[in-house]
Amino acid sequence: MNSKDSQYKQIIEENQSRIRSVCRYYAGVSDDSEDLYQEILINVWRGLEKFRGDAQLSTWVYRIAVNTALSFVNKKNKYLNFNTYLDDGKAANLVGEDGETKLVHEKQLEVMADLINELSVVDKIIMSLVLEELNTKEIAEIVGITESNVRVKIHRIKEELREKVKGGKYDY
Amino acid sequence: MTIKKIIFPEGQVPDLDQVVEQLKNLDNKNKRLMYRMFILYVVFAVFYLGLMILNPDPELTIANRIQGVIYVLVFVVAAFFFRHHYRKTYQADYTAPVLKMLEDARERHQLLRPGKIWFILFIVLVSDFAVTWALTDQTWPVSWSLLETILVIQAGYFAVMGISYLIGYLVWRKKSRPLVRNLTRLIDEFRQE
Repeated sequence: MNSKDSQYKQIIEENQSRIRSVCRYYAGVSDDSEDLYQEILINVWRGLEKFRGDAQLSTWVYRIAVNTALSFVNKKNKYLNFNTYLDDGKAANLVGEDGETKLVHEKQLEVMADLINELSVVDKIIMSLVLEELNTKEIAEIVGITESNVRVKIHRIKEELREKVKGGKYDY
Repeated sequence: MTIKKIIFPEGQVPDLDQVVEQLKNLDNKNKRLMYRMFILYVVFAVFYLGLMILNPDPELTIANRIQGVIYVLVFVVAAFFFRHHYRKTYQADYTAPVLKMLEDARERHQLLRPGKIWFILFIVLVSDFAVTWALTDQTWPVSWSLLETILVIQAGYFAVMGISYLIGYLVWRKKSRPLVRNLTRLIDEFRQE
């Protein structure tokens, strides 16, 4: 087995859960999710020769996964709706620093998913990476904007979500 | 059959070794196909060039031969350009940061890019030169002066080019313009602080 094969296998094995997570986030548990996963595997293979090691491997994989999701056209010849699906583990990443400002309770997952789905595509991409527990620097590297811009966007999105939760539209 | 169906025939992801094997086979197959196409293309171009230059037909003048060579050269250059353009257009770099990928995609789908304009202008003018030269050599049913003949040829040639451009524009407007607008909206939103 040559180096490209083994490198590819290693990358996929080490990042399988990240790729699956991106697929679930953007395509839920539909057939599109499996199709998207396969397309990401192909794009990782094709992109392997361009990997220079100047970014972390996980960041590089996330780039391919998000870019593929953005350009993914399903069997019905439609782009993904970018409908978000949250699971318990991911939602915990929306928790505020002190616990008292906790934004998400497990039972509120569905509502939170609805709120995130009301965000723009760009904000959903940023949130998908926040939910993956990536730090500002990593998100900036994946998306290609400055760290300060990432911080501003995350702050604004969280504020927007808080406002919506507080605004009475979603009363618990 | 799409690449995905070749690599994942059952729709599910098989063992990773099998995936790697399929990907390698597909790469090799594509390489072989590209190489064969390239050879075929070179053989065809050389054969046709030889035919234009060495054809013993006494009715074929030097002018006819030079016109033939110009057609072949325009054809070869255009084919290489479109191959390069096709590769750049349909082989997006998924390893780039998201914003860069979007910017590249928008640039690729623009109707007229600087490099593309100069190239198309070059092809149109060289073809115009060869066509005009070839047609002024013909016997015309009406006795026009050389200048009138050239003007009539130019009017016809640029009318055909204009219609071709219009068709191209309409196809672009239907297929690519909504994409370019959508990409611009996303790019602006990413950049906005």
